[in-house]
Amino acid sequence: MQNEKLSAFQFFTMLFISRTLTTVTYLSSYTKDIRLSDMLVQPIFRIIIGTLIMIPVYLIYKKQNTADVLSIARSKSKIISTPIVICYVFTFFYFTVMTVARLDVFAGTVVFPETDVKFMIIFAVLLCAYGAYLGFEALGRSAVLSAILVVPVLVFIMATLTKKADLLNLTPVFYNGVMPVIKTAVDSVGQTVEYGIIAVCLPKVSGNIKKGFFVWLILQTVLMAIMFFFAATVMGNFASTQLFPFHTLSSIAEFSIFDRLDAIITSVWILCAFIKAGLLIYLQADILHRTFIKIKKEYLIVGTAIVTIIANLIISSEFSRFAFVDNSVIKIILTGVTAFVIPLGVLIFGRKGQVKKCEKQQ
Amino acid sequence: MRKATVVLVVLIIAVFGFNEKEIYKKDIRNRLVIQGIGIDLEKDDSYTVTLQTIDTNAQSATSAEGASQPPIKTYKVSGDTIYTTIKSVTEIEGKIPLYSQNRIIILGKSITEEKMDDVIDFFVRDVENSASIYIAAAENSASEILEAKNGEEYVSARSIETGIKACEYDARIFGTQLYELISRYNSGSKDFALPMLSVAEKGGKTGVEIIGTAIFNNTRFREYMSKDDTVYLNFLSDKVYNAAISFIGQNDKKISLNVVDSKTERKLKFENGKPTFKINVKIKADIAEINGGVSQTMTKEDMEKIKASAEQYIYKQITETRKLLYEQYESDACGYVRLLYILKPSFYRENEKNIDSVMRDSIYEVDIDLKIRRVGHEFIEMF
Repeated sequence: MQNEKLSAFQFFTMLFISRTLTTVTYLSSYTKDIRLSDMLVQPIFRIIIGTLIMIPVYLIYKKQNTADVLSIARSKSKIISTPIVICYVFTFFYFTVMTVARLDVFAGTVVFPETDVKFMIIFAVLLCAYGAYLGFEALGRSAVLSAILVVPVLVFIMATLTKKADLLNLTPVFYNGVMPVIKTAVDSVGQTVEYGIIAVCLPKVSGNIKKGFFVWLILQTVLMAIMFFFAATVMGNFASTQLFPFHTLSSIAEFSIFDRLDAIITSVWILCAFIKAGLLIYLQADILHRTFIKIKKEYLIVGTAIVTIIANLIISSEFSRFAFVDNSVIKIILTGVTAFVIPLGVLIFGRKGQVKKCEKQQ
Repeated sequence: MRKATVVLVVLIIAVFGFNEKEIYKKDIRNRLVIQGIGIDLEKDDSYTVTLQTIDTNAQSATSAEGASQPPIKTYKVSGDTIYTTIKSVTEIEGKIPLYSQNRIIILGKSITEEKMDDVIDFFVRDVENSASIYIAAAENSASEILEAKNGEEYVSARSIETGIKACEYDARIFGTQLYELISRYNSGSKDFALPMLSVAEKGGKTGVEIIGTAIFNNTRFREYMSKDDTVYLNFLSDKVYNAAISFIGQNDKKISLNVVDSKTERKLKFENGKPTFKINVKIKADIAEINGGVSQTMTKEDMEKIKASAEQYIYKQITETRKLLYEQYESDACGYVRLLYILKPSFYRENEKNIDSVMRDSIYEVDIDLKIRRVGHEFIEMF
C-alpha cells in the first residue's frame, strides 16, 4: 500500500469529487451576511486565496518531489513532527466526522424527518472504511468512475432549471461592501480540506501536478459558481431559508413528466461522501502507520472507523451539537494550518539532506 | 472473518433497525396522505385547517375496481397554530399526516386579507412539503374549495393543481409556487400574485373555478385580475410562453392570435432624475381565427393591418395593466421595483420608504414587436 501511486488526473478527480460534496452539502447558515449575487463573485477571491496558500506546498514539492510535509518534518525532529502529525490526523478526522455528520443531518431532517438514522450512519462509515481498506489507488479509480456519473447528473439538473431562472432574483453586487464577500471566500477555502490532502499526498502522485492543481481549482470553482447562479436565480431569497439549498433546488427541478429530481442529488451526495470519507479515513490510517504506530494499516482503518462512528453518534443525537462542531472558524484554522502554516514552517526549516536520511530510515 | 461480519451486521440491524415507532410511521396505512391544505382564519383568531386526503384504506379496493381517482376524505380541524391544528387530525383518525404528496395550499380570504405572515412561516420550516407546491387564494373560504363536490365526488386537489398548471401554461393566471412566494416575501417589497379560486355552480353541479389572479401589496390582498387581464400582467413579467389573445381588427372582425413565443426585455434608464423603464415585448404568434373573416388566401397588406391592430391592442392592454398595478393596487407583482433595486441600488436605498409613489411617477415606455408566423397552414414568409 505504501508504494501506491495515482496519476495527477486520478488524484485531482478524486479531490474534485471530494470538494463537490462540500458544495452540494453547502449550508446556507454559513453565508447569512452575504447577498445572493455576491456568492457569484466570491469564487474569484477564492481562486486567488486558494492559489496563494498552496505556494509553500508547491515549493516543497519542487525542491523534493519524493517527500511530503510529514516526512520532511520527521527528518528534522521527531519531537516537532509529533504535533504536526497529530494536527493532520485530527484535521482529517474532523472532516471525516463532519462529512458523515452532514449526511446524518441531511438524512435525519430532509430525507427521513424524525427518523433515527444511526443505523444508516454506522453502515455508511463501515462502507467508507472498506473503501479505505481497498487503498489509495482503488479510491482514485472509483473517483474517476464517480465523476463520470456525478458531473453529467449535476449538468442535467442545472439544465432543467434554466427556464425557472429569473435574473430579478439577483441582488446588487457588493451592496454591503467587499468585506463580506472576502470573508465568505475565506470561509469557502476553509471548508476545502483538499488543500491539506494535497500537502501530504503529492509524492504519491505522478504527472503534471501544476496543471492538475489549476484545472481542479478552476473546475470546482466554476461548478460552485454555476450552482450558486441557479440557486440564486431560481430560488432567490428562499434559498437562505433552506438548510440544504442545493437539495431544495433539485427538488424544484423538473424534466418532461419527471419532477422532484432530489433523489438524484441524494445519490450524488452518497457517492461523493463515500469517496471523501474513504480517502480521509485512509489518510488518517496511513499517516499514523507511517509515523507512530507500527501495527497493520487495516487495523488502524478499523480503529479510525470506530472512533468516527462514536463521534458521529454523539454529535448526531442533538442538532445543537452538530451546529457547534460544524463551525467555519474551526475549519478555517484547520485548513489554514495543514495547507499553509505547517508547509510554510517546513519550507523554512526543512533541509534536503536530512530528508534523504529520513527516507533511507523508512 | 466473514462470520464475524455477518454477526456484526445482524447485531446492528437488531439494535438500530427494528424500532417499533419507526415501523409504525413507515406503514402507509398509518399515514394520512394529504393532497390539499386549506387554511382559514376565524373571528376568534383561531385557524381552521381543511385537509383533503387520500383514503389509503379504501384505495386498494377501488383501484381493483378501476376507479378513475383514489377515494378522497376531507377533515376540518381548528386550533391556535397551523402546526398543532394539523397535528390534531391524528386524534380524530389515528393517523400521522404525510405532507410529501401535498399538491396545493389554499389560503382563505380571511388569511389573505390579514394573516399571511403567520401562515407562511409554517411552510418554510416544514421539511416535508415540497418547495414547488402551488399556493392559491380562495375568493371566500379555503374550506369550501376543498370540500366542493362535483356530484358525489370531491373536486380533488390534484385536479385543481392541474387546472392551475394549464392556466399558467396559457398565461391566464400568475402561477406561484411556495419557493417563489417565500422569495418574494423575503425580498423586501412583499408584493406578489396568486391564482384565485372560487366555487361555481353550473347546471346544478358544483365545481372549482380558477377565476383569475389575486394581487397582493405588502402581503395583503388588494384586488383580483380576470384571467384575460392576467395575460398582460404576465407579458409585463416576462412569463408568457403561450397565450391566446382576441381583439377587434379592421372591419369589426374578431381576430384570435395564438402566441407561440414571447420575450419581454426590461431596461432601466434615468431621464431628468426619474426612472424610465423601457419595456420591449417581442411576440411571435399564429393567426388562429378570423371571425366572419376572409378565406385562407391573404395579401401582405391584410397581414400588415392585422399586425398593426394587434400591436396597438396589446400595447393598450399592457399599459392599462401596468397602471392598474402601480397606480391603483400599488403592487410590484411584476417585479419592476426589484429591477430598480438591482440596477440602481443607491437610488432604491434613497427612495425605499416612498417607493410606491416613485413607481407611480416613473416613466414606462412600452414597445410591442409582433411577428406573425403563420396564417393557417401556410407560413407568412411565403408572401
